[in-house]
Amino acid sequence: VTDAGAPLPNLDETLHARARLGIMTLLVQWGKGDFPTLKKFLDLTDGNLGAHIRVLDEAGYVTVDKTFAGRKPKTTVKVTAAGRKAFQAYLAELQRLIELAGDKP
Amino acid sequence: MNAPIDPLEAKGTLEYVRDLMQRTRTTVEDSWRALVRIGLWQFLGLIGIFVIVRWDLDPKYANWTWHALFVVTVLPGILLGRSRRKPPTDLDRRRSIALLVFVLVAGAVLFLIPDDEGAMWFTGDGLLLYVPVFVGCLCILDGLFFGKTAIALGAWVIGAAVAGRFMPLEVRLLWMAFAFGGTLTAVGFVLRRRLRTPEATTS
Repeated sequence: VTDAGAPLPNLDETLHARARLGIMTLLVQWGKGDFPTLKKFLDLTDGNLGAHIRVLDEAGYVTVDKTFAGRKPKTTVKVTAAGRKAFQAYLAELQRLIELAGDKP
Repeated sequence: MNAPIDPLEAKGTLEYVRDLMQRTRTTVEDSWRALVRIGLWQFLGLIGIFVIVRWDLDPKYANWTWHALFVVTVLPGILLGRSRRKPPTDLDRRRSIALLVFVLVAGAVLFLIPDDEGAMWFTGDGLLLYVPVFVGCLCILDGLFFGKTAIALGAWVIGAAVAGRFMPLEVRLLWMAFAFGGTLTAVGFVLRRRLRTPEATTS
């Protein structure tokens, strides 16, 4: 834990990517969010955002609901209970690492 | 499942999350503020209608009351609302549609409740125009925050009321009942369809 760059036992790699962490941060705040809103706030491309959402979906952290608003397809992403738990655990682990290093978070 | 990280990176990541949380929290609060304001206008508007009708105010006073309510409650709201250019969430859109439906239902109910003498409240020519135009304006104002569907709905309500002005009274009452009843049915149908649409294949 003390060596810089050494693996930590409980740090979730799914959430470690900045974009995925951003998505989870927004969803934990809102409960759910639509594709254009997430894209706007996180400044990601369609493909990039879609790929990260897929990873989170496969991990069981979010659910994806695709519908049509008129003729326009619409994607809504919702955070799951497991996703919230993992997000909180990830933040707690970050905080623990900083404290172990003797720094103030 | 485990990711390599050093304390400095951990600190940066935590700061990123906190910053993003702060920004999104503000957005949610803004949306709520806008919703509360819209709800307040509509509530005040309905109180205005009730006062005018219940105490049988002269149409001249009714006119003034409505305009005063508009200026006092709506203008500051528009200025505040337009200064916040953050996108409403999907949930907010659904809430705003629910508010619009509520206002339309309330308007329809006011048309149908008889007074002490058994006559319908809104039989005066002026008041027949006031209510739908007022409701339509509220819909359009909702549209400033929640998009063009609300604006189109407001424009239709006002248009239907103005068109009714040129009809004989009996035809006009029937037209308004069908136009506004039809609008309510259409809004309900659209909401129901949206809830039941099949899954899309793209985002």
